[in-house]
Amino acid sequence: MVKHQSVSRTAITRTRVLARRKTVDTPMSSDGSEVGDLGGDDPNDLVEDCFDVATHGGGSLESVPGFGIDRAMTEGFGPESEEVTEELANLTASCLMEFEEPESVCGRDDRRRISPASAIPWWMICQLFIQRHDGRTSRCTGWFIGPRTVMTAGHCVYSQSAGGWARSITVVPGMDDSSRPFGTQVGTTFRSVSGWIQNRDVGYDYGAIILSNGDLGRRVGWFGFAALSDDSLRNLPVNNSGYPADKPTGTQWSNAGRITRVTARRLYYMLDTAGGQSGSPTWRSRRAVRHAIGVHAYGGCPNKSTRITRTVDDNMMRWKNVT
Amino acid sequence: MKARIVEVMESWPLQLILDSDGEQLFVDLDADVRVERAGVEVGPGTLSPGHQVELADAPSLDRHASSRALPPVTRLKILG
Repeated sequence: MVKHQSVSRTAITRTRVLARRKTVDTPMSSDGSEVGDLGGDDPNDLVEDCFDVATHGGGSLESVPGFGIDRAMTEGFGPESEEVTEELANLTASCLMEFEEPESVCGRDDRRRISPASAIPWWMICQLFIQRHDGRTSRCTGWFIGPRTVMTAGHCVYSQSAGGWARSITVVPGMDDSSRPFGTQVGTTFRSVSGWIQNRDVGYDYGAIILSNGDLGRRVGWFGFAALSDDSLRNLPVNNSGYPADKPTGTQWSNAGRITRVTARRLYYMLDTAGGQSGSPTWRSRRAVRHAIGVHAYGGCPNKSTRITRTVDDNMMRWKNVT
Repeated sequence: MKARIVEVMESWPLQLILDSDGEQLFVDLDADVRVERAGVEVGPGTLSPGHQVELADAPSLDRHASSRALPPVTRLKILG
């Protein structure tokens, strides 16, 4: 069995090839109409558009009040890219420093709270309350990729230590403290791949929640996603937002920075994350067009996403278009 | 039991992938896990791939039990 073979909690036989709109070497806007001068795309990039329910100004990094974009664009890179002052030369490497409270905060904690989270793209991102296979509870983050489909980490839907698939996952998009502006939905059908379920390979740590209907997804819209080439991903400014457990439950926190390393199946970065943010989207934002390029799953500085490769993209398309 | 941290999964509570004598183990940390380093209590955010750790309360973490539901780790020492 190949590692990317889709594995589901409920058996669903697919008998037809789903139509899909993908472009190779053609930059596209969220409404599908723009073919613009989004220079720098690689001919090998594969892009699936998002569905925004409203328009929103864009940029390389999401605009969050109080967030230091200059620092975000340089964190995680060697001193050769900066002026090396004596103070800088004597700094302890951030990954060698210890911080008692936050998880995987690399250097200064510059996460910013998203409140309210009832705007694009934040409302597409969901707090997940998980009833695990072993009966214990846990929390993760997810994000809509289709009306019924919430993307997350594989270990959020199928925990190796819990011994199996989650029993249920409550999805709360745009949650902000006690506010649940769009309501909730409970998913009991999940997807992941054999590379994670059977092989326990961290490079295949991604999965999805399939909701029973598209009511919630159609209210908040969904992220596009893209399988970008190595060249497109190197040093790419990206965003991440999720529900870290070192902050008040149900509050969403965002961070941004550059990808510092790219491997065949993973993306590395110094964006600050914490326990609870597994499954959150790592995305590129360009001219108000957002494409997720990874599924955040691992901490430890550098922190890591499962990379959306072409095979991951294929599975996401299948899960997005589930009927 | 002593082991090396291979990965830190950022669900909450955290889940760890450990290497113990070449065997891969998946374990849960308790939400109130006590992490100690050189006799000082530190936050679980300190845990990083490459750390050698001792699981103080892991008698059931034999290598053949890794796929079964195990009790979460409540105390853990970072050895180096």
